[in-house]
Amino acid sequence: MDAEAFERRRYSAVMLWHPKLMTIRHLADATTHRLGDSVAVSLGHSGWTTRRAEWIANRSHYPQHIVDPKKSARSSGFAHDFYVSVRSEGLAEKQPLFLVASPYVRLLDVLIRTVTESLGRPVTSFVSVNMDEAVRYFEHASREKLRTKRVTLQMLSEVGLELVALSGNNPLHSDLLETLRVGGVAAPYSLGVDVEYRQRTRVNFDRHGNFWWYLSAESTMVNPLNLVDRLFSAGLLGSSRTSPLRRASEEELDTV
Amino acid sequence: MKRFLCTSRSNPKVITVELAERPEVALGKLGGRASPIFSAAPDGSIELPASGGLAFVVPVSPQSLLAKLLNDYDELVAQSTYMTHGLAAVVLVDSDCERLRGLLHALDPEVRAFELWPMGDGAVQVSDIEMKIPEVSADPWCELISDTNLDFGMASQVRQFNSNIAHFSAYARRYIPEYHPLVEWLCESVQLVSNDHARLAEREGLEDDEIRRLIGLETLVVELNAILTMFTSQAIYGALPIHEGSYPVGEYSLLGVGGMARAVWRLYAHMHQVFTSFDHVGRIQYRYGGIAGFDPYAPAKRINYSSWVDSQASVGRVESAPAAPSGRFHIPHFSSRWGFHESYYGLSISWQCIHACATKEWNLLTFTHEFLHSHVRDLLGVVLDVSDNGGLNKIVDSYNKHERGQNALESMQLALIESLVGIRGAARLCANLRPGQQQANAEVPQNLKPDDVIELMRAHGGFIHELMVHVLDFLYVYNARDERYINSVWSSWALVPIVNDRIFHYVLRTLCTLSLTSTVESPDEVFTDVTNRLRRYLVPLQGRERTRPAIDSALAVLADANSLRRLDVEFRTARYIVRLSECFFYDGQVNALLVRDAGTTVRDDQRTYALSVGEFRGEVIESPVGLLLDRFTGYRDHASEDVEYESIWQMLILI
Repeated sequence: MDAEAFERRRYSAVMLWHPKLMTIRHLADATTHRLGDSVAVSLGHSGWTTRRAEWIANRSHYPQHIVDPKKSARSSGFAHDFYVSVRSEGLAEKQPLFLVASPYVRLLDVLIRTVTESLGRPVTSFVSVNMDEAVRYFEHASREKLRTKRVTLQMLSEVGLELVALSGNNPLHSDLLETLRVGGVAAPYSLGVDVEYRQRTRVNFDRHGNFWWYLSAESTMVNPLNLVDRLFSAGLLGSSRTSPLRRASEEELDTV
Repeated sequence: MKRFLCTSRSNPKVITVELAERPEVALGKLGGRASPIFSAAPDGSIELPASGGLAFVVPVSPQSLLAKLLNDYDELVAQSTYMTHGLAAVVLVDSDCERLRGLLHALDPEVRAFELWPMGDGAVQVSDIEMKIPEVSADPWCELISDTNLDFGMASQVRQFNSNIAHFSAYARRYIPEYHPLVEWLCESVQLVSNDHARLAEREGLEDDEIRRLIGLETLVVELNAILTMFTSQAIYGALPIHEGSYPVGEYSLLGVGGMARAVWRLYAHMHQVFTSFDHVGRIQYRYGGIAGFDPYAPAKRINYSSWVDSQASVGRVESAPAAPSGRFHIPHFSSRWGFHESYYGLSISWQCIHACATKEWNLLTFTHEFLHSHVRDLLGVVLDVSDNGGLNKIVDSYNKHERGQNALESMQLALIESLVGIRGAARLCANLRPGQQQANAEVPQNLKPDDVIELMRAHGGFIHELMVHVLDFLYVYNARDERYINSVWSSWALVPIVNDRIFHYVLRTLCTLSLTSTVESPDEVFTDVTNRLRRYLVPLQGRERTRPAIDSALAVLADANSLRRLDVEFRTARYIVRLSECFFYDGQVNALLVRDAGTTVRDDQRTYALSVGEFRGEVIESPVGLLLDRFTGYRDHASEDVEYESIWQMLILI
């Protein structure tokens, strides 16, 4: 797709690894070739290799006013952009970590299911986030390049109230958050962090390992990748046998 | 898939092993035993190689071990992994015994014990059986309780307790160390009971009530021994050596039900730990005397309860007791005789939960109700600890003078008397109501005497107790969700004949509970609101395949004008105790800790684990209560063969 046709769009992502996944080519093979041709994306970030690939679906999910279905048509279906970034150092020894991102949660879910089924046992591992520790980390972390702008809490003792979001310039230092934390009646669910390594991107992530952000320009992919690096180096990432998308909350699910 | 793993021993040195769809034939053979096994993978089959190895594994954590076996190894291992109800919750088979040994070795940190049966042509040489039994310290978990200075009756009960607890502990130390706190507490409790008995027995010229107390103390230990005996057989049968011994229930005779006992203990221990950590009883006992009183008469005419909201006497706002709480324990066990029942030492769960806890009729949320009976008993015990006549006279005198009490404890005692008077008044009014009658009268006493209060407690104290339990259950466990609460409670009640005999009473209890979340103001509107809500969620229960009379009877009561009038009268007065419980005995922080779980998400505005039946993630379920609540909506109505897999899976993911 032409870069000019690229618009600000919300991307959802999950991270995974598997003993049989060492390169993007392996991932493409595991999708039973529905992840087609890919091109390298230069982000100027060492440690990650990023490619933009095409996911072939039966119909075009793009809004027609953005992408002409004729332009995305391929011999076997309609192409949709996916980003696949590989981090050479992952959570498992000698095992690279794959970040897979798509504007469409449904397509992302189909890709994940196809890959996990194809790879079989041992099952694919996914990244999750220790959200209690993440809140503590970002509360005290340097605010250069990373500023927490939103924290979502899961309420635990309110009848009829589940998720509450606090957003602003510095929600992690709000009196309301402090009250809820002291009372223990809420548990942190997700964070929204403004990352500014190149332009600025609000990158959100939840405790199950769902990540989502608005990608204004391809070059800003470097922002979520740098955030993942920070989470990694702070020891905030864990592993799960369950796809994060199984536990994505309603506010994260793309309805398109 | 489910099959019975059956064994027989026509030769004492040889065990014959086979699979069968039903256990009766095998059980009829010499040395015949059987237990059901289930393929761990939802789509799995069950096969037993004629030769190879059969391993019975006692896991440290069944859910963790099963997650590993089903996810981290190849397809062959996953398809050869089976679940059981026993302590040996996992059974592994392999046509290559050496390969099976290798797998057991690799799984070692997750395996507390195992018994490996090398098989040849469907037979096992007993002499070839290998076992890994955990090494533990020889130190007992508790000291023996002395039976000297006790009369013969009490001494024999204490000796029996010593034997029972020693027998249980010997196995528990090896296989189920999580029961250690229970054993310690039981020993302390029996020691206290024994000391009280000895002190009382050595006195001369005992009064009638002292003799009753003496008998009561001995009866406590009698009851404890009965429960402990049953519990021990459930919890420890199935420990190694599995090839010897037999559990007395035929269809579980090979492996027992120890795994299910562990699951129930997990549920109980979670609730116990949360409630003990907040120690509401201790807060009331130590702090209520120093907190300003509240006005028990402020909700005049049972309409406006706003003065109680955010009261300083609400347990959630009361400072903790000075001493760290130790907490009392119960022995959760299965019972086909008592069903769900609570007593001083025991919490029994219906035996049917073993194979059908994933149904609405036998769901385990009923257990939380029984747990809360004990909690409420302790709360009321400390509030109503008016141990001498002087204290009782004083509080009755305050009530007659319409005083509000000098502190929160006195206010609460006055409020309970006020609630008793109201409930009795309403009951008398209803007794005087005739069909079609527009007015009725009931005499209201001007002044109470202490004996009146004692009589009121005898007559209506049970109802107050039940209402308090329902309030806390609805708020703490069901998160005030109508449909799940009504469905759960009435599915369980519908199985109990006495409910149909006293249907008015059970309908009233439910209506009172639902009033907690009414958003309308006037008593008329509240009553209409709660009756509509109850009706709405009872009607679907009528359409069940297996109809229960209690549901029809409840709906008939709600459709009858005269019954509704009576209900309205009793409802309005009973709301007093409902609001009292909510404002003073409910603590939102308890709720938070009870349901907190990082493994949940929010879908359709409700908390869920998004778990599929048969899925083992290897993640600790932090809130067993939260899990049961999440699973409830998807339960089948009634027990049937195809719910057994979901039931055993649900139990094992808790451990």
